[in-house]
Amino acid sequence: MAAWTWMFLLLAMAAGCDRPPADRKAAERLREAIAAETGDTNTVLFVENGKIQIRSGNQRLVLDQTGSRKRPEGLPGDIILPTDARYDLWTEGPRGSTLSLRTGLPPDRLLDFLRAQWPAAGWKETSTVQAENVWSLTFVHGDSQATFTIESEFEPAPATRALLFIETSPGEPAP
Amino acid sequence: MRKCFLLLLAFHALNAAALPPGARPPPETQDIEAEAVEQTGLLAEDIAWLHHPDYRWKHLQSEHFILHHDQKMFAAKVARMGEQFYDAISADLPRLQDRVSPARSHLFIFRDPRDWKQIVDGTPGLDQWTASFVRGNTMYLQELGTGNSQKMETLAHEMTHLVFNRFLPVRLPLWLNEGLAEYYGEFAYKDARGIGQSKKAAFRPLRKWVPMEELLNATAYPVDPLEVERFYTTGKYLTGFLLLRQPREKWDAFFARLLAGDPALPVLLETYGWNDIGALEKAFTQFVR
Repeated sequence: MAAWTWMFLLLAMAAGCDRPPADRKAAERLREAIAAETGDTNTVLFVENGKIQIRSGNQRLVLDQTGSRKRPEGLPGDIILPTDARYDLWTEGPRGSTLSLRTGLPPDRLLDFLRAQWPAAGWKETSTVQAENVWSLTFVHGDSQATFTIESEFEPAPATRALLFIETSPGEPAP
Repeated sequence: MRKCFLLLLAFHALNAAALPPGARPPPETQDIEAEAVEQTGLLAEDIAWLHHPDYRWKHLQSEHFILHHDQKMFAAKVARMGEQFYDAISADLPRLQDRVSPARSHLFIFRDPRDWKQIVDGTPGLDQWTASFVRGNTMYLQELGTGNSQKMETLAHEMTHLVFNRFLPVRLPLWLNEGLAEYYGEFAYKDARGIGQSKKAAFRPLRKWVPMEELLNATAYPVDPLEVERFYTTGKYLTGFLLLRQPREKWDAFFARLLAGDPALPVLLETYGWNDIGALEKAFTQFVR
């Protein structure tokens, strides 16, 4: 599935557009959307430990709509994030990982924070794109690439939502 | 629902953000200035080559690619044929989407063998026999040989790797990655020129090939350069065997399970009904003789 599509689906879910465990039709729509994108008609949605779990192919997504201050296990140490971040989604797939978080920092202050902290951890900023009130910021470090999508959120309370997509090594060069 | 609508707008806004503000839809290809080169998706090593003081790159942009070159005539042909190969190869992946779009892939074109040696020496994981290669979202293409068809077949081979890196959520086993690249290298240019021969007739008898056990379990290229060509050829023949001599629905089922992340070798044997690698070797031997 295209990275943007994953981001949109996950952003939509994290924002509470659909609540699959409470609504079988919503779950079915989500399943159909994933099947349309991936060709995988065997998507499984279930609840475990109070969190929504989605399994599509060998991708497993975990969605915690309550948000947690606990840093997700498996999140690399050089991913520096604001101390007030609340994490509501962490996924790991064969080619990359996705993290969704909310912070009280406004988008411009979050951008400043990332630009100050990440280079110190070895990351190099390679591109910035702004469209309306959405920012996209890309860093590279060795063979890893991290792309932030940042936007303001007003419900249930004013905050900034950041979606981070970390792509793992592009692999060995193929002659 | 309002929130969903706003997110949808944001999603479309992000997709539209590939174009500079106020830009018109790009023409087929256009020269662009160095400051206009998008760097999204480039690795640090790619960026280093882009800004290397020894190279005075000119830049040509097409729908899916940004080409860095020092001679426009060949670069324009690479851009035009590259887009055709992109369309042809991605058309064979109908249930998948381009994961990288709207970001463009980068193609560095080298004409001087000394420059190419510098690239190979400076890239971990490459052997000296490497003629061109793809790493992540970037292709390093050497203009090699005098014949146009040889150059375009090389481009089709590398474009296969590039398109797969853009579309596939998983990495293919080495034999299949190279086998498919060789397959498209053999046929994509001929198809584009309308000089396609019968694909089945293109697989003439093979005198020597890499044993299936070795091919299917390979995770690295052969050490002996003489064995490298045999590895590529055997990969192409096995790919052709699966695509042309076996029921297409089996290929579709095999590929779907690879995309789902299942291990390649057991899935291959199970999908095609071979009890073990020996049974596959026996069937393959009949195909190549």
